[in-house]
Amino acid sequence: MRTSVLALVMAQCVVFGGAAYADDATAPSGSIIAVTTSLSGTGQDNKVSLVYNYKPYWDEVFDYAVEQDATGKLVPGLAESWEASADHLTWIFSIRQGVKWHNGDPLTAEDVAWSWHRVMFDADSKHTLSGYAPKLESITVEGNKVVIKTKQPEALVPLWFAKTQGNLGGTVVSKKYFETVGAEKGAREPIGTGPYKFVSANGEQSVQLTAFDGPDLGEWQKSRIPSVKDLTVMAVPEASTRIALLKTGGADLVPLPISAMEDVASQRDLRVISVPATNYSGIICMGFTLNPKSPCNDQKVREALSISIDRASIADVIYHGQAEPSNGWYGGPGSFGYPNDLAPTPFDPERAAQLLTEAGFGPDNPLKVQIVTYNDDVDFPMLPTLAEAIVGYYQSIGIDASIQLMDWNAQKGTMLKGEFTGQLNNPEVSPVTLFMRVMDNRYNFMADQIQAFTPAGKIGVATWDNAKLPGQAERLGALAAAFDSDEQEKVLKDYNRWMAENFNDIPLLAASSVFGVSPKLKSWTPIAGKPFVQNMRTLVPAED
Amino acid sequence: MVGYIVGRMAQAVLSILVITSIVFMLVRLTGDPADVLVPDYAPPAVQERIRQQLGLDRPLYEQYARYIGGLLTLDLGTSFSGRPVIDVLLEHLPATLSLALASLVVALGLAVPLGILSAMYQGSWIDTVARAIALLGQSIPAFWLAMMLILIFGVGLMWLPVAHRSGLSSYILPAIAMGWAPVAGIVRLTRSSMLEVMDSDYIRMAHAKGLPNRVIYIKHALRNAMIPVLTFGGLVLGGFLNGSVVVENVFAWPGVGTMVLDGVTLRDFPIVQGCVIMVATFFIIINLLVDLLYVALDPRIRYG
Repeated sequence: MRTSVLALVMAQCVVFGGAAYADDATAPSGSIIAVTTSLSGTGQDNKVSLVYNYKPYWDEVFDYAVEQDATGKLVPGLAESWEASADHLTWIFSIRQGVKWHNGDPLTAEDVAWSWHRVMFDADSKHTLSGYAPKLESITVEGNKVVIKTKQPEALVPLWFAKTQGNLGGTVVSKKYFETVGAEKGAREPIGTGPYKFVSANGEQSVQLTAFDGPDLGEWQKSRIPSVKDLTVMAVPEASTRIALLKTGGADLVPLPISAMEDVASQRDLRVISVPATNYSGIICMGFTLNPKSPCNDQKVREALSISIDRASIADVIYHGQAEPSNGWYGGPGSFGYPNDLAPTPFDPERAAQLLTEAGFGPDNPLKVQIVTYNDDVDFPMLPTLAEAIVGYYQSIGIDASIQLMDWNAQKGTMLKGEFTGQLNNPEVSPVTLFMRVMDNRYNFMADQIQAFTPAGKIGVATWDNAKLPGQAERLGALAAAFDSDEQEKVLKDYNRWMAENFNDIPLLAASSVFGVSPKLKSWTPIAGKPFVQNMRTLVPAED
Repeated sequence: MVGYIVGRMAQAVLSILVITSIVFMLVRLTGDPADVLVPDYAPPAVQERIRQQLGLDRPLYEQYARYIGGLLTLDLGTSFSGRPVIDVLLEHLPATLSLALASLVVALGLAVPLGILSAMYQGSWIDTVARAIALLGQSIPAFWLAMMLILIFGVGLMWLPVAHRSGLSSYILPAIAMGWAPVAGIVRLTRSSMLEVMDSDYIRMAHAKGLPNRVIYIKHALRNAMIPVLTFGGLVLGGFLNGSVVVENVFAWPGVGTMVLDGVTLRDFPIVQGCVIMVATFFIIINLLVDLLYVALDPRIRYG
């Protein structure tokens, strides 16, 4: 059933996005208004901004050396290829020839190297990439190649600069333009190589873009000329207002809450489409491997906590079919690194109750758990409702379960400090803290696996003791040593499978993002795993 | 009079100082921004680096001293988006101020005539209708009214735009949504104030002299009856600046309210801090101005 729903969703996107790209003979035409929830940070330099809500338009104006296909896998962008040296200490990115900036200047490898260098090494850089700078020996240019030398073998260098969710660090800006007009104006009135040219911004209210077209463009840029000529990206935070705009013709592509899906779909001429696997929710049992007294050290307890949840019913009833049961540590069905042949976690409350009995828990001595979660529909819809459903399932097999809602900031801070009940060597282990959180389904989490779950990693300290989790170190090592995309996918799938088979965590659901579409739009090919309007060069207007 | 003004201004400065201190402490109680701003997968060094860049690694007293020092030169710090907070505030302020004024016009334009009519025709059906409208104003939450206005006039009738600030017509729905709530208070205040004034000797004298009702009500009664309404109107204006978050959010209005909400969502503490201080300052200044206007409107009032 779940597979068929996913297939339907994917098919919807494919059919809907069938004629995604404009052919050479068709000039861009028409205008489309796409809505996002916020454009705060608009006009800011990606090097110094910690706010990335302007990514929806930024990613249309700028290109990255490394992009993603519809599953999230890394594919060539401004770099037509990249490879690591035999000793794995050098990465070479071959930059495309014939790419033009919006002002007509040619793109050079120097632009790419300069863009990356400023974000990594400038003293005022606030970007995540600045943290990777100590791992680098140098960034240099040789002809049309950008050469990155690292101090140690680093398998994920292409991922650092990729066009992944939230990450603007890899944005390639024009060195000449930035140096001429300054970074402030360079960001405020950006000139990129992307499919859309920046026209104007109305504060943080809306941004006007127009298709980058021209006879002297190279083949790669020609293949990316949008079908829609004029694109407005508009910020509307309130869902009901977005829906009103869609209904009144004031917008053509708007993010919707799942609860509004049926209303919009029932409107004449309006359609709803889903972008699958945009966010993933799961539970981590705090204290597992870290606290010797944690009940979660017993696999029977972990398995009972997992198989007592009816994920499919939750997905159908609470999420109206716009979520998929997930069985992977990160990611959901259809996303890169997820083993699609992985059997779903069974729903077997009888076995769960039996396992709890075998683990020493019973009516007189119930397992006490507290699900700690937060409320943030931007990250994952209806987390508190999901927690309530899970508490119901737990209570039905005799677990004494409760919920603690926290602000995400406070929740994350408490976790990092190791202050949850039973998290570290705290003699008090009851109730067991079940940390329910959200991870976006991006490929970046490959880096997370390596970076955060190493002994020096902060998150690792707070969640697991890798040394006490047999098999963990070898798999992290394999991830760190996978320099080839196919190999990375294989190792990541193996890792997800191993996590599931050992019930090391409690994966829950991969949610879709839902968008309302006006009759002005014929098709759109979104990239899986991105919960905002994106890949807008693939928007195709309806024929008159 | 001068002594009074100086005293009130000193009070205002003290109030602002207390508010800034409370805000400074409160935003720091909610956790370390660096925890949230840095993605999970970022190297721990990034978190430390950002903490240094934002000055969060300094002792609290030092952060406070720098903050207060900055306030004296209108430096409200730097937003996490990289822009000076004062620039971001000034960019959003016109939208909020203009909406607040439009809402005040709606509130006063509706409430004052209703209050006068209600007083003039005390106990009649006009009085009942006026008070019923006032009750509705007090009972309907602004966010619900905003959504209903959008549904009726935006989606249903398609007469007015439903979002953003784009010309005079875009002010109508948000101004009604925001201006409706205080109508109740202003109607009641106008009514009771008018009734009180109309019961005074000089109004009876005016009647005895045979002056027309229009002249008595408008020229003689209304001016005196408006003093408490003016005070209340000032507070309402301050409230509009304060409470515009919900209405601005619904109408995607590019004002301070939307900015605050974004700031809270993104944990952009300098923005939240700057907004609260600015709104509090406005509120205090408006109060001060209202008090001073009292004197201008009612020559009997003198401050020693």
